[in-house]
Amino acid sequence: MSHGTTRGALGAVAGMALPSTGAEPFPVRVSLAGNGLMVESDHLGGGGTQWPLSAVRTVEEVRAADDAQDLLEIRFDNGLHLMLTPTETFTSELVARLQHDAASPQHVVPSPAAGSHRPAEPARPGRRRWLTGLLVAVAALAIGAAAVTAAQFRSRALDAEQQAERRLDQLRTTEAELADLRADHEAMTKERDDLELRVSELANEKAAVQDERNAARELARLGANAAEKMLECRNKILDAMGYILDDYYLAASTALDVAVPVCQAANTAVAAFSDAVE
Amino acid sequence: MRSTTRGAAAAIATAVLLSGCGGAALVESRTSARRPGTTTEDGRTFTPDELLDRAKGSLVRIRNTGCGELSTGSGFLGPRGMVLTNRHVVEGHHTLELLTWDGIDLEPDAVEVSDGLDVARLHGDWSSTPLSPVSVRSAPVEPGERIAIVGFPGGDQIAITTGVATGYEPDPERPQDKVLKITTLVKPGNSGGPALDVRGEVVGIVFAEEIATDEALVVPIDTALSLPNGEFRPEPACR
Repeated sequence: MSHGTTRGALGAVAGMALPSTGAEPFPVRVSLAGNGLMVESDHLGGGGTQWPLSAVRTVEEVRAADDAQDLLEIRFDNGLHLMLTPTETFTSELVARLQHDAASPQHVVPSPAAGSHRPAEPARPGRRRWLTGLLVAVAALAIGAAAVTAAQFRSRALDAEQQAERRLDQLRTTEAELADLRADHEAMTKERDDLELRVSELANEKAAVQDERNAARELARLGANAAEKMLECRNKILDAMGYILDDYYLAASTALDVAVPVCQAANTAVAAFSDAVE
Repeated sequence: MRSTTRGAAAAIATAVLLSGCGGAALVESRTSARRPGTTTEDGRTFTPDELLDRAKGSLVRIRNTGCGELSTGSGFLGPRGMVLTNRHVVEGHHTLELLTWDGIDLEPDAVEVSDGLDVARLHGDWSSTPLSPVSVRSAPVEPGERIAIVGFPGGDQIAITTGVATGYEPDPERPQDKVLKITTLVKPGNSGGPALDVRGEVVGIVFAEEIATDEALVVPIDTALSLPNGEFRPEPACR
């Protein structure tokens, strides 16, 4: 069955040949030519040697570490194997030709991860696999990070809950203390009000006593004033009577004229005193 | 003709009355020193009990002994270091004694009275006393405002009564001036006490009761404070 141009020679890729005899590896250039692989190397006499695809035992992708390009390992029945740095085109074309031409199950391309003989399956491009792997790794990392974060959140939530519980306990304690203080304050306020009321009552009693004292003083002052005026009146009258007894009638008349207003004032003072007493 | 009673200073039961020294003796009655609180209009206003607590530090009970009469009234420390009261509270005194709500005795250095208004000013060094000046309101009182009157009714304990301002009317003795009317009963002994608004600011000086309506008559504080010094004359002690 013809495969057209795909059966023609394909661009060569570089690599190393690792002989089974224990000889030193040597660099090669490998290209697809017809139903075989054209292997060229100075170690092969400067010319090329065609290896039929039917002689291919296994083809494996070897995942390179880090950012290095993946390698393609081709093992032949005679023990020789090649480690190539393939292009995508080379790899896909090689796989296609192997699937098409090889009758032996040996020619399947096993999974790189399995590392064993498996039925051939279409080889995925290295970069895509790499990207897929990267995505899987990132997803795994994200899931891991999420799990860690969730665990941290749970831990923090637990801590916060415990802290809230402690705070709640403190709050209850403070509330109880506050209630006690409020009760004390109310009691003291009531006591202060009672004391103020008592002070006011005492002040009122003091004022009443002072009022009585002042009233008594005023009464005494009025009484003394009346007595003084009465005494003065009496003296004036006695003066007038003396003049009469001595037959000094003119002088007696004058003395009586002096005594009258004095005695009137005395009467007024006595009346005031009497009113005050009443 | 409207009937008012002045000389609201209380006659104490032991008071003496002498001829030649006028003055109406009014029967005293005792009232509770405290009244239940009422709600206030907003957060900046006070209940009657709170008003009483705030005002009592400014209040004095005034005892007038003289001319054979003993009477009592009220007064308060206003602005400019003067104790304000009524003229009729201090007239004819032989001795004038002040007593704070908690029983501390004070004595004024000088007494001045206004001939036009029933207002008197007592001077003294109050800075060393427990008296604190009460704040004064400058805006006029609007009818409908709640007003409290603080004093020593009946010469008894400090007390507060509340009422509502009903408006202004001409002063019975000096018609060119207005007096404020409050719907509350005052008693002898309230004379000279402050009328307070709900914020605790003085709006006037209580001086009489209108018998026909049982309303208190108050000299507006701005009127009392705007009187020039020339309106006042010394009130000497009688002999």
